[in-house]
Amino acid sequence: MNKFTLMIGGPAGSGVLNAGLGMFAKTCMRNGLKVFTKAEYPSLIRGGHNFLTITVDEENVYSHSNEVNLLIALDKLTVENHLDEVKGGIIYDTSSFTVELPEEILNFGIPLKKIAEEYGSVLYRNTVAIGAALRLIGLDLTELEKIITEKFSKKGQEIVDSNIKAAKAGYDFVKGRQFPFMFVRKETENRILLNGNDAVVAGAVKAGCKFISAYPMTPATSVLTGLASVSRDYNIIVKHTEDELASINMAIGAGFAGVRAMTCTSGGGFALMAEGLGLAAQAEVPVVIVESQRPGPGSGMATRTGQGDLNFMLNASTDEFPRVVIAPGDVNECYELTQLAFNLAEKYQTPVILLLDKFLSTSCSSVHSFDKKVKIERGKVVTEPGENYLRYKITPDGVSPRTLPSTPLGEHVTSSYEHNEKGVEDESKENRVAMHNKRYKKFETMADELAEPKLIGEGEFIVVSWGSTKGIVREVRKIFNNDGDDFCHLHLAVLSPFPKGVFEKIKGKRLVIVENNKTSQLSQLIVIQTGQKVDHRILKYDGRQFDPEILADGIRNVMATGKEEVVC
Amino acid sequence: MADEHKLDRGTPGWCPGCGDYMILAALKRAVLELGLKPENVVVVTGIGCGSKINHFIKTYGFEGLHGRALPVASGIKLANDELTVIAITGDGDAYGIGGNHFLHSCRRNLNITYITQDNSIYALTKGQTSPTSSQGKKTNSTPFGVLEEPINPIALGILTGASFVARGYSHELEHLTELIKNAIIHKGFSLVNVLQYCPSMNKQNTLEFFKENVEKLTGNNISDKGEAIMLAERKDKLPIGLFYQVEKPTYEEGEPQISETPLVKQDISNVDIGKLLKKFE
Repeated sequence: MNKFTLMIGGPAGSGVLNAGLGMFAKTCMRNGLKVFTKAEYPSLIRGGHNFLTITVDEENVYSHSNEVNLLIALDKLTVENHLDEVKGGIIYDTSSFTVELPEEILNFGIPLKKIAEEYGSVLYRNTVAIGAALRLIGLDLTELEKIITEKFSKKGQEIVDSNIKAAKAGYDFVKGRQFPFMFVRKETENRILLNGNDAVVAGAVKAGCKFISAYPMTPATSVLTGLASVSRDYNIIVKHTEDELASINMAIGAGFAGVRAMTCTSGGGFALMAEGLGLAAQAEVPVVIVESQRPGPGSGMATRTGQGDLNFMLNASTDEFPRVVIAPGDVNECYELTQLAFNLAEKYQTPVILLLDKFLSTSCSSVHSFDKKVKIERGKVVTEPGENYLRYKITPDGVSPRTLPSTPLGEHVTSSYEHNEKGVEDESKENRVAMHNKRYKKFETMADELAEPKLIGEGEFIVVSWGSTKGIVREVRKIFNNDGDDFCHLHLAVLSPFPKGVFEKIKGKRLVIVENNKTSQLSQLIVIQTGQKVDHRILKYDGRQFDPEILADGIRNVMATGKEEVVC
Repeated sequence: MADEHKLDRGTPGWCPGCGDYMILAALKRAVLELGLKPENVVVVTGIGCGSKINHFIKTYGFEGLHGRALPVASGIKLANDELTVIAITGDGDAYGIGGNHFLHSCRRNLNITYITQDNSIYALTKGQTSPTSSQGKKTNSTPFGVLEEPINPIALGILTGASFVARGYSHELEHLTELIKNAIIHKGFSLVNVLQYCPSMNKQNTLEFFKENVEKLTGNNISDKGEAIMLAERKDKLPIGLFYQVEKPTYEEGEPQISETPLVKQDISNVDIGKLLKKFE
């Protein structure tokens, strides 16, 4: 196993995220290595402390690591904050600040600012450092030079040349220096490097999404802006609305008119959409809602991660009604399950929530370029409804044939009031029960079609994850397997309708629930849905994701001591 | 004159004498006289007595949430710009809970028509103040009189960018029919604020009150914004008619995505995302 983590840190606005991701991570990927990146940053435009870790592996890598093997520090604060984590060396800017390093840390001090200015701009600091880092891990500059050319050619040849020279200067500066992490270029595959939000955008475009109306809110904003950036390539209307109330209602209007429509937000914006969620359920209109969680309540922590909105998604809005809640666990699932979300929304004429979190939304993985296509299913849309058409006809599967505006004889009112089969307000006891049952019947039909979650690994313990903790648990299994140990991993990507087959899989086993909240909301769901006892909970709610090494210790701890709850 | 009964559906349960009957008749006549096919018309409403109107006109209808008719109507129009989209709500819906959408819809200038049933009262909830209730008016949520000044929907519409701004009166049926027809014909966001007689909940704005105060606009210059606002601000009378109209590009005209084919008719069966993925390679 050859695994290495680079961290690059500096104040907001210093370009560390772009340089780390766009230059270093991409260069590694194009050299045939597997990459996972994690960004931490405060909600600021300038200043503060931003950092990005890039974990590089010859084998598949599913999450970040808490060990930093090479730190690139653009400011002193980065060294002070992360010195404890470094097991390897530090590249820091000797022309801007001085630091004292313990002996065991390799000192790769470089006058980054000075060199950068020699090539024309202090902005090239990052490039100098990246050039040096690549040499230290044994890679040459061929791929980086291509990347720089692609990235900056629009800005002119001079910028391209200066960046390449700056990278070369960094590369040359560490000539002859030894570093214990060495990689060799591997045969490259058709791979892409992208984060969860990027993959949702790709999935939405692939699924034929034609409309998004949304209001910016971290960490969901890049779904809106990502679709905006390709809107004219793919004929998608992107509407930045006046507020989230407009976002959800506009998407519902577009869905009613017959296009695949979505919105995106975080928990605070979703709170404003709650009434619209109920409208979509009652009126039976398809809509996809992406919610990327951040810690709350209120404004909470805009740029940190958490999984505290599960119960909210399962219960938001008035009364009771079925809604689909899908929580992709990684970049591939973001792509595939977004396509599933659009199918379910249209087939079952229902709101579908895609639940992400900041960690998944902003962490990049190198994956096989997307080629898997989910078949597009648009459900019961009728073009010749005939006389006496009933919009909300009660059918064996609960799904009524739908007409789109412009269909002759299909005229009806799509209504948020309780209505009869015609769509006319009807508050009779019999009608209310029949319609309430009908809406739930659709859900039963849907549950039968969804794939059962898979149980992976062996052992008496089942570690259960949902959402972005999937990758962390997978990485933990690698750590266990290296020690000749194992456990079962059950990942729940669909949380509502609750997947079939879970009860049979967990019955009599010892469950370890892993999630980013305090009250273990998944445990609550499992107890309600299966009646099985949850033995152990490993929780983290400080706004940061589990480090796999820490989670591995947590799992060993509960296995050894039988502790009910461990907070990381 | 069109026989509006061709578009009948169901039986309204409004109070006898309610202005909603007149607005419904004017709407049906306008749709028929313009030769619109019922299947190509969508009437979007919110919540209130008058928002039940789409149950009684045989077109497509969407009866949504209180305050949210305009966003739904906007989504429908953007998804299928070949449809005639008409939003109809009361004054509370339009200028109170949905006020933000009203402002932004005016400046957005989608080619949709917005008819507001303005009876200056919350009638369905039995008599509370609305954004257009006059100052000092006693209602059951303001038993000691309204402290705020009323909103002037006409002036507000003109100032926030609506490209067709008119006021009608429910009991001037032919005049109202013409206004609605012209609003539908107008390319852009058209507002028809309808002064509506409420026989049950508004004892101040009686038929006599309207008879005395309503006055048809004649000879006004509809392209003069300043004049339009002056007329809208008149306190002595309630002018009805077209205050302001301007030709300008609609929102959808700025979207080349739908310049040839409405979104709803575009093929989505096999989208090639190669170009999108390129930047991630």
